[in-house]
Parts: sequence; structure tokens; C-alpha cells
Amino acid sequence: MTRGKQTCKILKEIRRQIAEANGIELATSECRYKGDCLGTCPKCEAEVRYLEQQLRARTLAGKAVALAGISAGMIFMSGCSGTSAGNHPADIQPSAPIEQTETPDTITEEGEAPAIEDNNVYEVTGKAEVIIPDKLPTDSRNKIFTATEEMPQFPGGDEEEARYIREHFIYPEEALKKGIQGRAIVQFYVDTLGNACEPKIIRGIDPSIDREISRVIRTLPKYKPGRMNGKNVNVWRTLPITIKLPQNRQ
Amino acid sequence: MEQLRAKIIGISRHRLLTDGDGVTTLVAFHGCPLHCRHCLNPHSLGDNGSFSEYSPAELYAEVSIDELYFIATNGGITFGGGEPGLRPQFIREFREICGDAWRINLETSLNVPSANIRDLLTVANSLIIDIKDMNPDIYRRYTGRPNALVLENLRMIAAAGRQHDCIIRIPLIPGFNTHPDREASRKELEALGFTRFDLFKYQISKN
Repeated sequence: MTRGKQTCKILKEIRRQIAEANGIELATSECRYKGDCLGTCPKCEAEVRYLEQQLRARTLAGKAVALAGISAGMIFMSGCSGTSAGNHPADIQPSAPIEQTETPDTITEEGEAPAIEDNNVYEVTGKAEVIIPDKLPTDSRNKIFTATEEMPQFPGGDEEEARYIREHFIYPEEALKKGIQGRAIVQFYVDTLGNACEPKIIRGIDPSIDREISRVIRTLPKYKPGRMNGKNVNVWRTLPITIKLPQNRQ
Repeated sequence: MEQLRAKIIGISRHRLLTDGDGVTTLVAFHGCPLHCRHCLNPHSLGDNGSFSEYSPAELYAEVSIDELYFIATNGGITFGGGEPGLRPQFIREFREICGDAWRINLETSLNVPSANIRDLLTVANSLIIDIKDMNPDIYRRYTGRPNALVLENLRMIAAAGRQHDCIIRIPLIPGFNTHPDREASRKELEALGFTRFDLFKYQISKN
């Protein structure tokens, strides 16, 4: 069995254990793909997103979620005084540098699925059936870069960007009452015209605060777009945002 | 909003058993103080442009796709390289963003200033130490550098009582050290209180 297939099998078992421990219905089927496998594929990834969604729903409903360490026994590196197996990172394989793992977009169990780009939202139905949207947002069809020769610039620089967000953020009443504060991470992309598009909260604090951050991001003034080979391009931007209660509320 | 950025030569997901417990993602930094004869990732050296720049938040955004696996298996991120010991500020910032639930492992040669390792000990759960050989002559012949800092850092880790959080890799490097050399390294390390070793042999590829 190739290493990728082995990884796939172990990850699938971990997903099964998470589902079982939390009473989530997850119907996995045997992968019939015969080619090279990197250990994950769009179908496997969609199962992970489905589990995340189900766990989030349980948390929101006030139910206990069993996750931390539930599959810990499966993979344990003892590091005792033994001899390594052949598949060791320190083995010298000059022709095999660290793999840049990318989600393959052609591996599916059967039939053809549309190519999936990172950062897509996977739509998931209530059952374990996973539906991959065939209609992607128009902007996602164009490549969105992580790093470019010239990165997008906010008028006045990063400090002004931070100041704008700080001044336009309106503390949601609900979060204020509950005394909620924290650090969020928001990701969006700056399109070729300089607009901040499709903000997504990668790490949230509270639904009301997360919504407010997304609202403020959508109102950001135009950036100077990122450029690559002399052309304006779409570029991802990821910002950590610390939300602190006003001093009189702390 | 921080401007801290690091050059990263590769991100490898779903590593099992190779760099720490649980499911881990290897994040390999660019830049290393050593020039090992059989370097596994030579593109971590020199300015050949084979890297991407990330801020800690951008890195978090990319690797958090596997958070479910990390939490369920007590896994997390293994910072390697290159030399993660050159990046304490970046890793500290990353820890603040990812929180305490992820494990952070470092794959390090320890050949960096002790202040860096002291700082990293407060954010890393475990260290996978690439010791090469404890003998200074063998070490210098293989890496082109002295190992005084390595020894100083090992003593510092021992003084902090963190030996059990370390796995020490002691390789047999054909043409550079021998079985008795390796035994001598191990004895020296055991005298410092280290107990977890990984003994293996470099497989030298012809091409």
C-alpha cells in the first residue's frame, strides 16, 4: 500500500472515531481511487468540514463535544531507544525535498467533481452526503495569490488599516453585556480593483463579534491592489484582530 | 497588527509518526546556520527564491484546516527547516494565535543562541533534536560548524528539567562517525538525563 493510501486509511479511522464519540452519522465508503494519493482528497476534506460543522452545531446547542485526544492512542511516537524505520525524515533523499502538499483536485471516488480551490465553502447536507458546490463564486475562478511581488497596500499603511477597523467596529450589545472579548483572525482577499472581498472568520470570538468584524472589513476603503508581473492580481490578506472591552466594562 | 513574516520552504500535512505524536503538519523554515554534507533540504539555504513568506496569522489560516485531526490525536505543528531555533518570535506569535490545544514540536539542531532556545522552551511541547554527533571534531567535519552552542543548550534544557520532552536523533553517518562514536554520544547525553533517543542510519542516495 502506498504511504498516501495508508495515511488516508488512518485519517478516515480518526474521522470515524470522532463521529462515533459524538453521535454524528458519517457514512464513509471504501475509496476506489487507484492512483497516487497524498493522504487526503476533496472527498476526505469535505468529510472533515462536515464533522466540524456538526461539532459546531452541537457546541452551539450546549451539548458536550468529545474531541480532545480521542484518537491519541492511534499515533504515538515513543522515541525510545530503538532504530528508526526506513521512512524517516532524516534519511537522505536529496532528490525528494519536503513535499509541498496540495489538495489534489482530481481524486474522487467516482465520477468527476469540479476542481476545488482552497478556501471554498463546502456545502453539507444534514446527512453524511457531501455536496460540493458546482457553482463557485466568480471571483474564486481567478487565482488568488498568497504572496506577490507587490502586496496590496492600505492607504496610509497597516497602522491606518488597524485604526480604520478599530474606529469603525461597533461593539455588539449582546457581546458587551456578556463581557466577551478576544482575538479573531479574519481572512479576505483584495481584488484587482482594491476592494476587500469575501471576509471569512478563520478564528472567531463570538458570532455577534465575528459578524461585526466581517461588516467592517466589507466597508474598508480601497487598497492599492497587489501586483504580479506588472498586472493587478487578487491577493489574500489575513489579519489578527484583538477585540477588547471598553475600559469601563472590564 | 504584526508585520512579523518568515520565509517558509514547505508545508507538509498529515505526517504520522515522523515528527511527533499524533497528526502533525511540518512547517519548514528557510535558513539554517549549518551546512551539513548530506542536507535533506538544501533549498532551505541560499537565496534561491524557493519559499513563500507568511505572517503567523497567515500560517495559522493555512494550517488550521487540520485542526480537527490535531485536537483528536494530540498532534499539531512541527516547525523544522531550516532551523526553527532562529525564529522564536514567529513561533511565539503563532502559539498565541493557535492557543494551547495544539502541540508545537521543534525539529532543531540547537545550534542557535541559548536565549532563543530558552524562549522557545516556553512555547514548545517537545523538541526533536538533531544532534549529529556529540564529538566536536566529527560535528565540525559534517556540519562545518562548532557544536559549543549545542552543548550549552543541551545543558540548559537539562537544567530546566525538560529532558523528557526531547527526542534526540543520533544518526550513523557513513564516512563521518561510527557505532562506537554513536554510543559515546548516547552515554554523554544519558549523563545529562536524556532518555529518549532515535538511532538510525543515513541512507545515502547515489543521485
